[in-house]
Amino acid sequence: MKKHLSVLFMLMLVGLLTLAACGDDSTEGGSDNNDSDNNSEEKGSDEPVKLTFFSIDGSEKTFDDPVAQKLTEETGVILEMDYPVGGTDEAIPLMIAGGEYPDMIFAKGDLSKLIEAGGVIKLDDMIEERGDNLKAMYGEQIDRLRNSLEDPSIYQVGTYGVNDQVLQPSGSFQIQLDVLRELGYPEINTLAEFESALTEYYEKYPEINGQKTIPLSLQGSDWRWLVTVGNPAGWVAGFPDDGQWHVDNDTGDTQYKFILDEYREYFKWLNGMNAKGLLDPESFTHTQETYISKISTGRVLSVADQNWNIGDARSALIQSDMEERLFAPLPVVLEEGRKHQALKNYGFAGGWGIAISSTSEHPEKAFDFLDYIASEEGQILVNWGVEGEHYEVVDGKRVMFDDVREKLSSDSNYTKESGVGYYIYPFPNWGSAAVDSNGQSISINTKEDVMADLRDAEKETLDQYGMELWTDWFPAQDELEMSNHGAAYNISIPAGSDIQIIQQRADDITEQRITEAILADPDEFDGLWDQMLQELDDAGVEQLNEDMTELVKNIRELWGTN
Amino acid sequence: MKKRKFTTFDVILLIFMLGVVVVTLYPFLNILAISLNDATDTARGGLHILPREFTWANYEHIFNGNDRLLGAFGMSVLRTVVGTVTGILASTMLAYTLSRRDFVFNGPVSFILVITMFVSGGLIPEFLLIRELGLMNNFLVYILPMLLNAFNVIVIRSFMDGIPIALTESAKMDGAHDFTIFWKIIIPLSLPVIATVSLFLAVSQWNSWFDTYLYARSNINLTTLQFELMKILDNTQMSAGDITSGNAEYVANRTNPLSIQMAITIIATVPILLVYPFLQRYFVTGLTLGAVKS
Repeated sequence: MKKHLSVLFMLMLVGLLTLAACGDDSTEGGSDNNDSDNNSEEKGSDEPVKLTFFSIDGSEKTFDDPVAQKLTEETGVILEMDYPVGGTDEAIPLMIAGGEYPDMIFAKGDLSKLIEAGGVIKLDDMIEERGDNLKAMYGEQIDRLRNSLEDPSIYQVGTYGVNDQVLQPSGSFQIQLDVLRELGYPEINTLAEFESALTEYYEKYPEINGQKTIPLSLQGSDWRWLVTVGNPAGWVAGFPDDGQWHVDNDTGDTQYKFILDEYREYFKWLNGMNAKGLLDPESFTHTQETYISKISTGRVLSVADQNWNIGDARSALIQSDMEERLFAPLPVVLEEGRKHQALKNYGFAGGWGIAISSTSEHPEKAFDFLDYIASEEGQILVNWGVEGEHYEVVDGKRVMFDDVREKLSSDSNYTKESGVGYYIYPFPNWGSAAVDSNGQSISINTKEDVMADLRDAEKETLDQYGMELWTDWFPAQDELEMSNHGAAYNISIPAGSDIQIIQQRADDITEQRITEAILADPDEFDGLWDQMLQELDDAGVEQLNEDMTELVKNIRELWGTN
Repeated sequence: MKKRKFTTFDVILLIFMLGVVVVTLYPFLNILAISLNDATDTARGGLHILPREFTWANYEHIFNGNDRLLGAFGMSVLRTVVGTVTGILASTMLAYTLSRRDFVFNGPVSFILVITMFVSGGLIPEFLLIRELGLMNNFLVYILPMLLNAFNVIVIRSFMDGIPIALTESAKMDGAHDFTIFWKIIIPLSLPVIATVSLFLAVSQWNSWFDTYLYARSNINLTTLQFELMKILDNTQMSAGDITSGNAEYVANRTNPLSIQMAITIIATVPILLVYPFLQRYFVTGLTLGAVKS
């Protein structure tokens, strides 16, 4: 027995060493191949170049779909795509520590670290010399790509659409279609009207499908507090979405948003809703799964949420034949005279983009690839796919094949398999409102498509109001001012700065105190709110406002929008 | 043996134990039920131990989406087996040395060992070290760094401290070498603790995926099951890209990660669960020592 053990052990050791040797061989073999690739490229042959591309938002994907093949054909580039598996934050620091960079990097907020470490190159000269498509795409907004006032170079291109539009507003209050039907399709524009609609329906139907009706449910138990509790207040006050900030678009003066009176007013109303029993008492304790399952049973009359957060519930409602329980977004504001900003155009957001590394052996190739994607031909390719395979041109207009469109909306793997739509984000892109030289939409999601995707119950409700889309309910984009600083949540805040520290403290205070105030007895609300303002004051919110104002004003100066 | 009476205490004990069984089994059955339930239907909640709309689709999704899964499974098994055997050998050897009172450097070596339990080098220094050692994309990167774990060594050592010193002394008198003593006396007597630590090692080898990501992902033949499952999991979750790409509506309407996540949990846990019954007998037997008469 003992002997057997030692024999086993020896075998194990031998096996181990053999395996280790194998491992070495294969990696060496790999690098050999790379070398030969490089050599052949230098000799000027037409062999496509392999470029590595790291995307912090990427996913597992090989560059072999029809769209990718077409891209290789046009640009001579094959992408090897990599991404941080499991969403680790350490990917970029590790890259810097190792000193080995992929050719192209999409690092989001970590770009500043790469710039500091000298890991990425300035693109200004290349844009000037060979970036005609990028120049044409960004136009005047190209200044928005610049890094900072101290170092106004351009290190990155891409990510957000240059010319976007909102076709499916969400994020603010959404009400069940059946409530609108029951009440004879009333106009609901203010909080008061919204509340009375909910009350009336609730009194008529205290139960739906045998379960207790919930007039309004929020999801304030995790990070979604910011989405369903904090942000709706801003929408209702008629402010655009600037994250935790309120920015005066004329002057650039910035404040921590919760100190504004509009917020007090909104949360006072929410406190009243709670006192009247109209707010789901579990709003701040239930998990996301419970929240979704409540909505899926059709007994939640209204939510204040983004569509992407309640998508599961929507599918479940459709699947169980309760289309009349789907939601309609409402342009509800505090009182008449305020404008809901759901359709606001923030302009090109700048901030994030794809950079080219300093260790890349083919920076020009990488740049040309990005520039090609920014061309009209490139944009049509990444949005619509390959002509004849994914769409055809009928009477000079692009028409997507029915089966392609069907698969795009039903088969979760189709975008990856076909490449249609896969190379839009985070590459440079024209945006959802852009049109090509013939006046056709670059995006495949046109107004007509969104209309076609609506369920029957939604179409019927829209008909009753004489509208085509929910967007018709909201103030149109050209009624709203264009933002001079993009969106404040896109502004990168220096790590370890006072802003970061104080904001963290302020966010902790507001999340806790506002929740408390909402659930308190209405008589106590004002006292609690004042107490919170005092706490914010003590936490240094005044300094926070000053520092953030400076940051916003710097951005405006850099962008030339002040 | 006389037949014992069934007392009230036994009844209470039985009920309590049944409670424990239910509490430990329920989460697992719940996961199984969700993994076998239609993904969209899962959103409605209220699933307990039986799926409402039975389907294999979640498992199909996982197996169809990745053709490397079988190879990765093999690699996981390999690293678990090799890593556990080498790890246990290294740990017991060091533990035995440290349990000997005549080992001169006992103090310093123990100190160096224990300090690694409280202070670690951090991710980036470790990454650089592995790179300098030439372990990148090498199978040994799964084995060498996990060879010794201070906690495991101390557990084994404490157990060995309980083995009467008279045993080793008498063996020595009979002419046994140190290695013979270790191999023929210490190891057989330490089987219970070896079984325990093997389990620790096997589970941590089986579960780890982050080292694959850091050190071995560019060699496709070295990726492990957990790493591949992690990639599938990433695919089922909405990324910021999906939200901002204008495709958000489409994506939101079709992904329900919960069922897929649960199917992944099942695939990841079942193989390692099978190890437990094999090691179970050692937990019971070894404790009946008593080789020395006092």
